[in-house]
Amino acid sequence: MRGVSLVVRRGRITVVLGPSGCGKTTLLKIIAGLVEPDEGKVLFDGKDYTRVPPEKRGIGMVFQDLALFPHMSVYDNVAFGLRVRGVKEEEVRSRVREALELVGLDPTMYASRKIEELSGGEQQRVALARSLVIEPNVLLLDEPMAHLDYKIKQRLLGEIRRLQRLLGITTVYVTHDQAEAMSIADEVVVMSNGVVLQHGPQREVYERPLSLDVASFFGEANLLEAKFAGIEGEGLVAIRPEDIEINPEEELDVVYEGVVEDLVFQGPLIRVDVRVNGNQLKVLVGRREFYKLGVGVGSKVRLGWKISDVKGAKAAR
Amino acid sequence: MRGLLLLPFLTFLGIFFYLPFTLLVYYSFTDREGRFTFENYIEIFRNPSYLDTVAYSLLVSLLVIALTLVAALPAAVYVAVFANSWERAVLLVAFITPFWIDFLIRAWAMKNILYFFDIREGFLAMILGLVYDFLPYMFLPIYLALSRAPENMISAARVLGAGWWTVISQVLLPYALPGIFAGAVLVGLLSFAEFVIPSLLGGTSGFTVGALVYTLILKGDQWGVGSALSVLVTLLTLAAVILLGRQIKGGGA
Repeated sequence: MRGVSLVVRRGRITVVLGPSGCGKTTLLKIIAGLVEPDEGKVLFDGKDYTRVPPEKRGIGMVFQDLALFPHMSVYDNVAFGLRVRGVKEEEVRSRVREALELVGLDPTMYASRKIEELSGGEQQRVALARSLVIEPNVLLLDEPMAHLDYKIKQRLLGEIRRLQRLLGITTVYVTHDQAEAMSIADEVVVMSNGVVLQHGPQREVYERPLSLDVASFFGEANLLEAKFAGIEGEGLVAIRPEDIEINPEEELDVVYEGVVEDLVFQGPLIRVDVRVNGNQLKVLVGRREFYKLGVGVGSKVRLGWKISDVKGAKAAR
Repeated sequence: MRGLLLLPFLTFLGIFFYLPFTLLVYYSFTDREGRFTFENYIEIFRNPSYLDTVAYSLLVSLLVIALTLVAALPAAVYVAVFANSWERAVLLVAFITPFWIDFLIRAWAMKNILYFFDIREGFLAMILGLVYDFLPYMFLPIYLALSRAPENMISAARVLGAGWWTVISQVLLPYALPGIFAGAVLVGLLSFAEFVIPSLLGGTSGFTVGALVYTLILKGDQWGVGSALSVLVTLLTLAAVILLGRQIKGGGA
């Protein structure tokens, strides 16, 4: 990693999004104190924590492999952080119970269970309870959903968001999955090869990506060659599949003709792949709208979009 | 028909172990005239010198367990937890390779090396020899137990507020316990029944159970008592193996 500077906003969920090996887990470990940075500083509330060991940082962290203690019960796992702080066993009991209830696990049912007896989603909840019970200043989540089914993942993401709102805890969530990033983020940090490409509120990063890499990593993008007015030569621009209209009724800035090559049914959306002058453009159309259009593979269509929806080309904006 | 798959293996074991062992059991229940008797077993418990030897062997085993544990546990923690992947590969090869060499050759070599340091046959030489020989049996089970731990288990404990001492005492040691137990039983059994090292390196301190059986049967012509002692040691071993199997099934996280 080089030149990474990141200010995480208090009480928000910041999602660090990037392909595997881009340095996002290292970034999280530096925040937690598990990896010492070669240079640079880690500040909490303006105080320098760079040389503070991890056990003194008061951080909650959920690891990719969850890292639950397999030889301890659910109760002992959650109690661990309190016991090492010397909290009295009586208080430990009530706080563990609260933490389990908070993550939706019935304490009477789960407290004495072994970790290996739990499902992936339940283990996830235990890991969350274990990190929240110590009332951390910061919650770090390192791809915690990597091994979960889609449905459970959606539900847990919703719950993490609910808990985060409830506790107002500053949260950094690392993932390579843009769908996760979409559904949980207040702020998005897009990383690649150890550098931060863009950092901003989720919608802003989506609507106004600063580069084509950001446009195609956070959301889908069609890349097109374009000539820029006022600039020499040619470059690439990006247009999002849902910003392209098929057979537009109104006048649009850009209109091409093409032939439908393939249709991909995605449930609520249909992806229409259209060949235009040797390029394939992907277009996303709502289900109902698609049926109204009445196009099929081989249909000749017109594609159009607004110049203001084109991303990643400063000259055109 | 499928039972035939077992035939070569069972034939081999049968001829070289189970048949002779059945004979041993037979001898243990008969007197010199071939009459049935419990006298051999009673003799073992009546004559304190036999039980003294058993107790001495147990003591030697416990000492060897303790010393191999001291050497193997930190090494296993390092290799399983802290080493990066190439370090781990190099260390595992370095730890295991010496034990591919026949142990008799290593025992003779050790005898000479100990002479060089002016350590003659006796208690110390025997203990050193046993520890050297049985180290891998302590190291491997602990290493295997620890290597199954979640990758971030220690990081998780640290972030939760545990200093190094707490990590070791509350997380690592309890997690390694099934492995430590397995290693202790293996090393205990092996050093309890060991015959060659005590007789080669032990000098007058080398009179363990193994040496006792050897003396009774081959030198003292006391087949009955020698057999009875062998049967008892074998039963003890069997009990330990069953216990070990249960522990690994029950505690193997």
